[in-house]
Amino acid sequence: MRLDGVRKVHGSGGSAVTALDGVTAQLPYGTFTAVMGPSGSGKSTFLHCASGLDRPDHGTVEIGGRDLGPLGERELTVLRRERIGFVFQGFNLLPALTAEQNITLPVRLAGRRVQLDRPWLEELLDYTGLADRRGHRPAELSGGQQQRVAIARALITRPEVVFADEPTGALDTTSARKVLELLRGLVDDVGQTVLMVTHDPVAASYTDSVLILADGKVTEVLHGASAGTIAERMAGVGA
Amino acid sequence: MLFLLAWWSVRARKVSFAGSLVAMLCAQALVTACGVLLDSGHRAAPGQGGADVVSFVVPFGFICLFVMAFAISGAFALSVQQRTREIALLRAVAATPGQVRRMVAYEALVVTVLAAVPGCGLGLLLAVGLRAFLVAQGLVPGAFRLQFGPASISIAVLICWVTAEAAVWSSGRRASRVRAVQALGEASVPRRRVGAVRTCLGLAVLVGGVWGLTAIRSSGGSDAATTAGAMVMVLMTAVGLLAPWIGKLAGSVLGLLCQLLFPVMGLLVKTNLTTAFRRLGTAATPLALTVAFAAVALFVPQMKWHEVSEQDRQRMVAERIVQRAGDGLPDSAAATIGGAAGVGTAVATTGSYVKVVGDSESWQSGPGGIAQIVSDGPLDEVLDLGVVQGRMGQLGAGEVALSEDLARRAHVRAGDEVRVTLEDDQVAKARVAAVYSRSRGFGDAVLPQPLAAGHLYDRPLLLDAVYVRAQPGRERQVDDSLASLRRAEPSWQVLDREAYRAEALRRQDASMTVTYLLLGVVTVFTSISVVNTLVMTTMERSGEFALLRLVGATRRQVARMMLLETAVTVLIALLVGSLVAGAVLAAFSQALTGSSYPRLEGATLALILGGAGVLALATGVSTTRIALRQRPSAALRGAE
Repeated sequence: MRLDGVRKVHGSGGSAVTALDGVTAQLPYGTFTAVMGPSGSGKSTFLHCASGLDRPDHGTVEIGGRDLGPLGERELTVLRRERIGFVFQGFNLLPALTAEQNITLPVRLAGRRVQLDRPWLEELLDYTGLADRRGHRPAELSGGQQQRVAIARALITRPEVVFADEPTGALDTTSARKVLELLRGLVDDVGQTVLMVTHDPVAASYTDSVLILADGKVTEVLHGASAGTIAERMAGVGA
Repeated sequence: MLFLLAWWSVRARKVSFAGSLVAMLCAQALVTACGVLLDSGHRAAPGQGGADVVSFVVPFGFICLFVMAFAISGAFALSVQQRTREIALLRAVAATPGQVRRMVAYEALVVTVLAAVPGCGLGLLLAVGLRAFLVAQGLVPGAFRLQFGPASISIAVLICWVTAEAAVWSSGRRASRVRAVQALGEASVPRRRVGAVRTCLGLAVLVGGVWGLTAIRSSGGSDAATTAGAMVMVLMTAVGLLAPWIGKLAGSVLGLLCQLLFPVMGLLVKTNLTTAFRRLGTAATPLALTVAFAAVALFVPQMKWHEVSEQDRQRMVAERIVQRAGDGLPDSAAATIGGAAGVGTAVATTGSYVKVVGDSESWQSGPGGIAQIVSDGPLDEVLDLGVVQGRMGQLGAGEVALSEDLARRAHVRAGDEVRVTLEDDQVAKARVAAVYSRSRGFGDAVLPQPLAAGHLYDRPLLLDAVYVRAQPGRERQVDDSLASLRRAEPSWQVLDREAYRAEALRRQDASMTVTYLLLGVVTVFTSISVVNTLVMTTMERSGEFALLRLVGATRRQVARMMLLETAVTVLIALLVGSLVAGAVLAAFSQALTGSSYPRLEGATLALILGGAGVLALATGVSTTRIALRQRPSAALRGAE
């Protein structure tokens, strides 16, 4: 996955805010990358543009060698459904559906184009430790369990890349650690590509590399850094 | 798959779909009942009152469908509004805009299917009840039987479904426009503007409504009563479409007022009203519909009857009226009464109908109305019809008199030749001898017996009433001779003017029962909608209430804030409803009496406005109490 000279301006006229100012970045297959930066540095916009949730004003975004620019809203949705997985900070699950129904939602919405891979579903349920909670509604699950359901859902279509937006932001330390270990394990065990937006240096220390954003620009890239180093560099850009 | 998703979401959100379901259930019951009666009406042999049933049922069914569409579209709009984040999540995860739109459509289908079985069952019971009611009211002969096929029931369900789909169309469209980024809590989402399509559509419908009102205003008034109901529907559709604008305007004006009157909670009320103007509009619309419908349904017949009895009083010159309950008096009664001692003039009338047709090509479609067939004798000596053109003495065999209204619609004047079709659809030629003004409660045409007698449809000529006037100074003798006639024919009724008026009043009450029935149904429907909307808009805010209480507001303060907001909603609704009803009634009054100031009974007006206001306030207050019963911390967790 790669971004090339991506620029995005929110609003117009006097109230215009440049959220991304010519960002170029590349995510190799099978790596775990964190995007960090102070509030308003464009982290969320980076994620939106990289995942096709939002369109950049300039520059190109490619996923698996495919340029997202010319795709329509429907095609983007199909692409998200089949090649991208999402995990958000909170409110990840449809309250009306059980854990299993939430996990299989992308496959069901794809209709006949994609077949539900039952063994894969069972494997995911085992892997995320949710096998005995599959019939529960989100309201009956803890925050950590809800996030693990969201991760399983993100993986059900065997996507090329998983985007996680502050996946541990609303969790306590123990649950957060479990979720991060799960993501790390995915990268190591099945070679999943994961991009995570976070402001937590501890969370970022689970990743292979860290992109630090400030004022819409990538200011630094750290590889295999410890939480301490990351916190230090973050302090450097004013976070 | 989408159907399953829709099914799950309906099942998991019972409260927010309950209103739609109840509205749909009522609609299916009523429309099925109408369908069954309609089918029976078509199958009925002539003379069993099939046509009467059809003419009663069709507008009734339409009104039911309209009100159902209103209730459902409101409920769905709210449910989509409340699920914005959920829909955004669906969009982010995997659903195309088309799929989201279809999901909403499937939800309407789920509601239809759930309501189908009990709805149809209730509909059949209701059809039996309605038949009994219509027979008991004497509107339909007892020979009328219910006979229907499965087609009428399935068509009724289908119609309900199609209506519901049309009603949720805009909700589905809005849902499909939710952007995936909205699922990400912190992302800033630009405030949505009121859709241009919606605004344009609303303005177009409004213009159509105003045009319709001017049409009523200049129409003669005979059809104005039916058109008035339709105009309420058109105008209320416009109100529904323009609801966000109404909410915006009224919210900022009344919000400011609240802030001035109540400094503490008023500020909150003001910000709530101005930011959630859409919710305000949506909540006020069903209540406005209740008010507008109730006012028009009650006042139109009242105004009509008032005008009828007024004209009746002015018309009546005869001192005695002879009638017979049931079929009527025999043909010979006019001569018998005319020959009685002391009687100066006796003229008989028989109700029929007539159409004025231009040329032979278009003989089927011409303006028409109720006609009175009169026996020989000077009509103007017993009835003063208010002749404005020509002369109304004794009509010759080739002469007719027309009401001003009919003459205008047929573009004829006194002295013109007209071609008229009578009961047997045969064309007859006649000369317009006179044009008269006092037609309400009488008829739009006067036909002489020699012209009309040969054209009756499959029935002998019987007389509805014989109007009698005594020779000067011989009133007492007339009474004696009529009394002796009555001894010979006990079934005859001899009425003086007071008794005649009392009789008319009794008939008026009987005809009002149908109005009350219709009004009852519509009120039940709109009340469901009012209650549902208020419950939904209040319950969705339990998280907000919890937050307010956690930051230090007392339960009482929150309750007071909600009371104020509900009061504003009620005020707007009463205002808008009264405006719509007022516009329609003014136009109707213009058509009926020539004056734009409708004559309204204060008591009825107070009942409508008070009833609607109390219903809405009571719902708002009790729902707030329920929402506040939760512990704030629990409510806050539940709201996330």
